Amino acid sequence: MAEVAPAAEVARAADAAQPVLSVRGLQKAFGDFVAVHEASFELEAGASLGLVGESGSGKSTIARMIVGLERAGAGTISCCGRDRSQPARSARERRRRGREAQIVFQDPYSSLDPRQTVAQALEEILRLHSDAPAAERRERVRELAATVALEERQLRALPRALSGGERQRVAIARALCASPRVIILDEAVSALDVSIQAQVLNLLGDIREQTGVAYLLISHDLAVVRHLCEQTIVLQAGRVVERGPTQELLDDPREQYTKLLRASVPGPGWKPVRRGDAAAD
Amino acid sequence: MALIEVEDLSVELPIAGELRPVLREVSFSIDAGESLALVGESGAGKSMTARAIARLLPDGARTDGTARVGGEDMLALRGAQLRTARSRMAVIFQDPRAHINPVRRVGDFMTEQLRAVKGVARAQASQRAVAALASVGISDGRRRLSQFPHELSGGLLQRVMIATALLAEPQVILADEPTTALDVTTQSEVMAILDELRRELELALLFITHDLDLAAAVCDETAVMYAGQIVERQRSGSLHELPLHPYTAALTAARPDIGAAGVTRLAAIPGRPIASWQAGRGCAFAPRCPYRQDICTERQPQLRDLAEGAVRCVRAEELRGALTEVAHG
Repeated sequence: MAEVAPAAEVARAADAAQPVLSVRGLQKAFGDFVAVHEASFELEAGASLGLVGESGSGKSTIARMIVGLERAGAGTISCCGRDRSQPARSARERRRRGREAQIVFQDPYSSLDPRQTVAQALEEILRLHSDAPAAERRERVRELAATVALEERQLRALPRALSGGERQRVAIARALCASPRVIILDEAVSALDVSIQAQVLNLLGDIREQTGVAYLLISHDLAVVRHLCEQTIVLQAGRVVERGPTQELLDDPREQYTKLLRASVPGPGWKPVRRGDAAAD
Repeated sequence: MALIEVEDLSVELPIAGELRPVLREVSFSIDAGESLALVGESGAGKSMTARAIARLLPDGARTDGTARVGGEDMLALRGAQLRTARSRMAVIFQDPRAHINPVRRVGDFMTEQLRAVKGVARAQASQRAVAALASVGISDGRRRLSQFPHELSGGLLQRVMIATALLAEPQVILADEPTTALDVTTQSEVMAILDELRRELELALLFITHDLDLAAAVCDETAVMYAGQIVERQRSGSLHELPLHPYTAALTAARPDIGAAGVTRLAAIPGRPIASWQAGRGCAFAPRCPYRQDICTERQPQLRDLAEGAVRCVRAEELRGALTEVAHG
């Protein structure tokens, strides 16, 4: 990865001042149900921002709007200085957006094409995004595989021959194919076993260091967010209830809801508590 | 009195045309009012252990050893005897939505067994269902009975599952990742309910989870499984503080710490968890173990008593201090 580092330095220096992703007054309703209510945040180049909340908090809907899988009801999204609040109007525009932001989903079992080998999957995306000759693309596939610690044998395998952790590494390599400035990690380590999750978290840290990519980590797991993100936003029922530096937010939460979330995480000395009646559910 | 007694339980399943071991010599017992957590990663055999006890193994499974519930060996029972023995236990699964009929009302689901097996009249069965719902914190049970599963949140549905399990008046609860699909705040409540019921009704609880911290919080004892075997078993509190097996220490260290300040790298365990049948001649964890010596790959370590617990590692005595440091950075 030696040749990547200078580029990352340049990118970091050039964009240090302006955010690589900016979301303003974002709204989304499904029928009468308001999934996201006026969400605003910025992600700086090379930074890592956590979006935490429980099911129905709107965190995944925000991610889907950013990558264009869902149309924003109101508000603006801009990535690398370009507006993407409206759907892309051409394949060319869609590809360009793909080079700005990529997403890695939670379930590595359903996010890969079962008929494509890993190498084919990666090469297809490289072909989409560059005119590089075949030999160069193959070289890049090997490079990406090395970045995410996949072996030659795994490159030739179909997804069904791979474990969950290996598949998730493939999904990360695939996201890296387009050399994006932002990667959205939508519960990307939540389904992994503890020992594999640690490997992937370390890997994500290394990749950020090497490429200067910025992460938007969507997670319900506060310990994972603390490990990977400097800044965190807490969402409840589609609204931002608290935001700040991750350590401060977790060590000294100000909002009632953040306190409740923090207190619900099992740890030494922790006891589960009944909050009373469930009629309100 | 031990309500659950598992002794040298081994299970083989037909996988890719041949019988392969998925559980090897698993032993533990749980007294009335006590709880044991089975902790481990995918393929460790946690769910398979619960399935063997409930006799819910796939077709073609071959079992060895005994799994006694209330004194009767579940593995040896047939027909009516098996049904009677099963009525002493309740099984709660990870995904409540996958275990309830989506086109029947909650009330039908909850009272089916009472009406069909125990011959309780409909009105009385409903009354008992409402009372059971109240005991898990659902006060408007009457209304819930007439609702369909899709109208309830995941946390509420899991409470319905627990309430339903209680209606059969079980002595034993097997809970297989009952809160993994739930939000953390809901998890806290569901665990509190299970914990309370266990104490009040003197139930034996076998709790399966991948979360060491959660296990420690709600279970008296924790058994750590790896590749189809129990590799360590001891009081939950001391397991965390003074792990006996290198795998337990490594698991504790690999988990990001919610109280940590500025840790950049986790102590990841190299390699990946293996299935029981992929284990070699020696210790199953040896290929990933930083303390591996020649002896570890040569012969199978036995589960033996050490300190307040039991461990399956030949170097356990000499590693004790070192493992505590590993687990706590």
